Amino acid sequence: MAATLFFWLCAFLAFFFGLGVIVARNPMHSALSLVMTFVASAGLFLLLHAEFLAWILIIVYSGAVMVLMIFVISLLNLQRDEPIEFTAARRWGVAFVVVFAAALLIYLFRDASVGFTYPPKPAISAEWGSAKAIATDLFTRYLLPFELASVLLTAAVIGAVVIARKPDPNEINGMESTGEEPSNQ
Amino acid sequence: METPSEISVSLEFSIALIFILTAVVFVGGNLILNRLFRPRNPYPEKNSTYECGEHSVGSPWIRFNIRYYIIAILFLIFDVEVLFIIPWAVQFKKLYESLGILAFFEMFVFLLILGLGLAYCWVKGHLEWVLKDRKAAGSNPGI
Amino acid sequence: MTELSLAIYAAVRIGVIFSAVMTVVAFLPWIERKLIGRFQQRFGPYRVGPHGILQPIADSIKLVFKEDIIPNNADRVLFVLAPTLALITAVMNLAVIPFGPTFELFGISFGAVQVADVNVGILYIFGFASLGVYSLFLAGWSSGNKYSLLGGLRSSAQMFSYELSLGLSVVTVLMAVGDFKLSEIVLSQEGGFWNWWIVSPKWFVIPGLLGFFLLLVSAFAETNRLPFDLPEAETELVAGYHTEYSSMKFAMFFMAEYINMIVASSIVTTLFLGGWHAPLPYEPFVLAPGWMWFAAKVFVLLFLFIWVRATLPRFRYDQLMNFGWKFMLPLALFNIFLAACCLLLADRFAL
Repeated sequence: MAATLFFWLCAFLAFFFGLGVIVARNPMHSALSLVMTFVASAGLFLLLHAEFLAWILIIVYSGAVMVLMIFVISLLNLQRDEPIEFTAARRWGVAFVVVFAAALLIYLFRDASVGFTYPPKPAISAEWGSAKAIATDLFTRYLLPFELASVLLTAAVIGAVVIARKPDPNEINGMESTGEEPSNQ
Repeated sequence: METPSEISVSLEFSIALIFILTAVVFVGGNLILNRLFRPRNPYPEKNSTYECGEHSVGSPWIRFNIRYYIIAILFLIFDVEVLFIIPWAVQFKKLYESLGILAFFEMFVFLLILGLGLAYCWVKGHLEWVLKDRKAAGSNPGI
Repeated sequence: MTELSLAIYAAVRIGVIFSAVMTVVAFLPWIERKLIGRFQQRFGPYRVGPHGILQPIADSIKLVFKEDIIPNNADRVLFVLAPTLALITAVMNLAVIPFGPTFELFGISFGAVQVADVNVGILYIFGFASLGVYSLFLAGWSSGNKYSLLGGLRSSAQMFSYELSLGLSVVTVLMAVGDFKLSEIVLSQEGGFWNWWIVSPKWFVIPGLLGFFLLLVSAFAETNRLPFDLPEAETELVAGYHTEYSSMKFAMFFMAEYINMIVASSIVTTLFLGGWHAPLPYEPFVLAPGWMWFAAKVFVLLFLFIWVRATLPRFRYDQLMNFGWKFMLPLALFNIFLAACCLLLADRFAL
């Protein structure tokens, strides 16, 4: 009973804020709605007893990815909403996407009956989703992908800093003279 | 086959949730208390942006320094790294029992590769908050 | 145990812990002002009540009766949301801290002095601490004030720079204990201060000392306390991210800061200083209830927070960033390596 209530609470919040992401006109409000969507989804993870994964979701997505997103929004100075012109082409485009998505959903859920019947769950152990189970798998069976993940992350570090900034003094000076570098207060 | 009634949140999390609701009620109560007692007398000068008594000039939403963005992206990547280390740390002793010294070296290699990334940023000066040429010119350290 | 009694016990635990911490939070500013006064050869607050002890009550009454100003330039929704978020995320962290062992009242056992012993333990605190970053950034961004924006920006960059060393310093203890649960971490330090992780011989002392140092410094940075109080550096940014805040909303930021200090001290106590265990496992020491030892350790750390504030000057921002990324982070990574080596060596020699 309590769990069902909790499910509906999280599901409603996730849906509500998910809607907020696309409806909010201020990009900052959108981004924060997305943060709340992640937190609500983490609540759904709790229902599956995947507490560790729930917290990973909060720490990485709400705590790190979205901070970056918000920094980008501030950096690009997008806080003013620009009115969207609804041309005929755009209207048809939106209509097409909506119809297509609806058709896709109906196709995917054509077998689901109207009442709530859950698909049969694969047998999972009580440890599923816990840090220990993940560690046991990650550091034995999936050791190679794990090590490759570090290479990927390193590539991401290098790529990010190379794209974001050129600290070579000559280039900075060159950019400053053309006024291209963001001002540094 | 499980029925929906069998899904449950563990007891500890339910209690934590109640505590969180307590916190929300407490914060809401504070705001309501404040609303009941506070005077309300706004006028344009009072509601204007504080800038040490001067009229505010320009938009407050400045385009700030890109170094904040670099720090944010480095944080994101190293945060993911920390979250890889944490399950390894918790399971370290058990892994050592089953894998032996490999349990140590697999994380060592992981950290070494990521350490290379950090070393790259360091050597290339991306961790510097003050650029070298500006430091030489004696300019201010930035925001 | 029936469901009803479970619910009543949980309610009692929530009520007791919440009100106890809130009382400490109310008087912590007084303690701080009094101590800072002493450090600076002044008396500190002295007018309201004996030795000014009623000052916090007077302050809070005054704040409730103050007008709440929302600047025209502000983003109203986020402006209200930011202090709310700051206080809620701070309070939420109190839920998992093990303040003491099982306690009894009138012959009834109420279970451990801990609201909820969740199995993600320390990660729970990291999660909500990382959400706390938003409150400061949003406060700065939504105020529509240049000082606030710079303060919010600084504080968020500072907080996540030090979150890394915070997480990595905790990893060492996780390795030694093998469990996230904070109650398990406390139990692993049973029997005298030589078993506390700060000086435990189980890993030859050094990783514990280093980890303690890293965690403490990161905690200072996370709570935006001096010498890391750049976000509200008065001399350059007026009041940083809460420049435009007044009345109860300002009070909420204030409360959140003090709760965060208590949470940070509690984490340091739980992970490295033996939690609620007595320093010596002998007769006169073990007679005092566990929560008293916990409170004593937390107050020592809070005193340290205040002492450091009275002693050290503020960092410059580039120094702060350099310290975080070039000193704390490599040291924390090295400490993990060291702790792993020490644990393996200890295993080899069967300590």
